[in-house]
Amino acid sequence: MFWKKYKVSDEKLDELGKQLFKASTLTEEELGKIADSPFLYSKIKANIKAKTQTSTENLNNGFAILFLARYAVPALFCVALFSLTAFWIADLPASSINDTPNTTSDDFLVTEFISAPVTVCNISTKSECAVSSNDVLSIVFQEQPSEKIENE
Amino acid sequence: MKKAASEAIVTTVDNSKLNAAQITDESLVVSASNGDEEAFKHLFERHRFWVSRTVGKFFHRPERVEEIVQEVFTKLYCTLSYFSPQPGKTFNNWLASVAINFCYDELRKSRRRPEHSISEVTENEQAWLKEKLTDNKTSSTEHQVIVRDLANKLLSQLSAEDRLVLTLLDVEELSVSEIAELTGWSVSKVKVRAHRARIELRGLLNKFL
Repeated sequence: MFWKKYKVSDEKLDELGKQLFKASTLTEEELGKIADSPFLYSKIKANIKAKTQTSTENLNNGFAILFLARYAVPALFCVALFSLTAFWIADLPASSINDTPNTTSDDFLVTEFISAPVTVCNISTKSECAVSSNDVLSIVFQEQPSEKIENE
Repeated sequence: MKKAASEAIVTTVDNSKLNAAQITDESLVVSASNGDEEAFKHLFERHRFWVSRTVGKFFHRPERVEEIVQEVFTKLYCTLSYFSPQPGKTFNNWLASVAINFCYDELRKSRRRPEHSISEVTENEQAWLKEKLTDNKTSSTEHQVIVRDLANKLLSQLSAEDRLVLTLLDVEELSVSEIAELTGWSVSKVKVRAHRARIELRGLLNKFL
């Protein structure tokens, strides 16, 4: 009995819902007025015109971007090339840039060797061939007196 | 002489009317999509009342309905080239699906910015609801505006999907398969959505009874 009462209640609610939906719609007279509105078609035409214009403007903007890209791409390529060249030059070892050091200066060898790291020489990585910087320094300083005599 | 000329004009007008009436929607669509404004105007003349009627089922302010009718026809013009007549799919079906999908989109948008709140339901409106449950008489015209306002307040609480399905089922009295065809949903989705919408609406009405 309780179940039956509940079911009836649902049906009534559904019926009320239907009535609400039907009540919420406009009357035929009101709809007729809207459909027969003399400005409806002209408004639609204006809407269509506005939309077509917007889409044309968007298309033009797209072409403008493409036009700019036509110049921007080579310009950017040049900038990239220039940057690469600059990096390449900066990466070159100092000896290859300045191939002819001033050998007449007495300080040249000393400054060069002082600035070099006091580690194993770069001639070879093998331990039997390794020559330490100290060895090189000692050889150089041994040879210097004779050179000075020759210069004199 | 004058009489003969006027008769000739009348017959020419009648012939042009007859020709316009004889031209199918499909051929008008082809002409309109090729830029023929007159063809589009014919389409508009033929279907404006039907579109207004359909939109009027979902929206309740005449200005809003007019605005949406304009938008539907604008969308129709922009998408005319996508229409291809197929067996079993006429221009009317296609127009219906364009209009209903547009209304659905607008319902979703208006759901995000609701115009009414449920707390705005007045005592008079609650009394009308209770009266309606006990009395099955048709409503008098004087109550029409109040009832419509109440209906809008209550129905604005439903989701766009629920409103769409219930409107198509209860007001348009379409079958589930017709709704599925118009909305592009599956039949089972329409059934499930209708069931949920009814439960939602019952809950909403129960609050005031």
